[in-house]
Amino acid sequence: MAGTDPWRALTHGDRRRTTAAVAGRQRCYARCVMRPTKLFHAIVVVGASLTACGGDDDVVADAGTDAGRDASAAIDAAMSDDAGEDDAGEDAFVAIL
Amino acid sequence: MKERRALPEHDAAIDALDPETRAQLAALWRERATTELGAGWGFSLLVCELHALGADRAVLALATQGAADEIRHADLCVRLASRYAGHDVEPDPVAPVELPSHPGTEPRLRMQLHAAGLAISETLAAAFLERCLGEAEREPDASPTVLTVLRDHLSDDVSHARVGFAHLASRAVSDAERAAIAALLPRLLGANLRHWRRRIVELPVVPAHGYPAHDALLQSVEVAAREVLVPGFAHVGIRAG
Repeated sequence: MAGTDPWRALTHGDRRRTTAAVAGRQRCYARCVMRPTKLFHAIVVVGASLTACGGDDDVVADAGTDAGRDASAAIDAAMSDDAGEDDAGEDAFVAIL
Repeated sequence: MKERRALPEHDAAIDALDPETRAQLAALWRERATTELGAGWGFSLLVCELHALGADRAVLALATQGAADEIRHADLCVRLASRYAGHDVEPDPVAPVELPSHPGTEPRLRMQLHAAGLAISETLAAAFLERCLGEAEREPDASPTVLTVLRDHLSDDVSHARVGFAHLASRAVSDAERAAIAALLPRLLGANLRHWRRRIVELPVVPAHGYPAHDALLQSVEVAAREVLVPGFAHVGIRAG
């Protein structure tokens, strides 16, 4: 299935095939794998296509390019060095799966 | 049910570790086994909710597989912890698992938020594991056993994250529900990222054994939030303010 799902090839051993075109194979592999665009495709595009493609296409909007202001601010706050130890009632919003 | 993943018979990288680090890593992987069992419990609860939401069959199949995957992950963690410990170990029992209460929300929206939480949690986990694997691969003395476990978990977590986005893109989520999820998305992202941050800074730094520098891990989850999750939610019609 590597032809239709490159992620499977990356995590199932056939790395040579997916990285043959780049020099310095190991380092390029690491850099290549870590591109968020690859994760975006593997997770979001493939995931959404499982239920939305061929069906109600207008359900799925074009990929957003602008991070929402509030979402961006929430990420800034969560990742800052002075992020609060505990957001009140935070467990009510987090499931570790 | 997927096949039980075979681990390398010998691992010189583990044999070469000092006793203190081996004990530390044994304890960590034992804890991760308990976490995975808890994740399996949570995933099972989510599967029931997806049925109640009228989720697409593709989503139900993937989610049901996901619940089983977490148990297999726990088994791999136990086997890895046993390798580090030099003897068989068993994980602690799992405390009862409940999905987030999302106070003030109606039951159906709460279940939709659990699916959104799955997309967030598993995407951040995939970014975390991807970095652990990528950094370990660059180490000449990387543990082949750890690489096997990380590849297995990463592959599955990508699939689990798809469950969330597949559901959110489906007809089982109304426009009104998408708008309600969008309104809560900043808080969901912030809470999850704070949780990951707290976990990451407590980890040891042993790159060859799947624990890279904290800065690298923090960067990976932050980038995943900005460049995968926020545009990802927008992709399925959930645009944060």
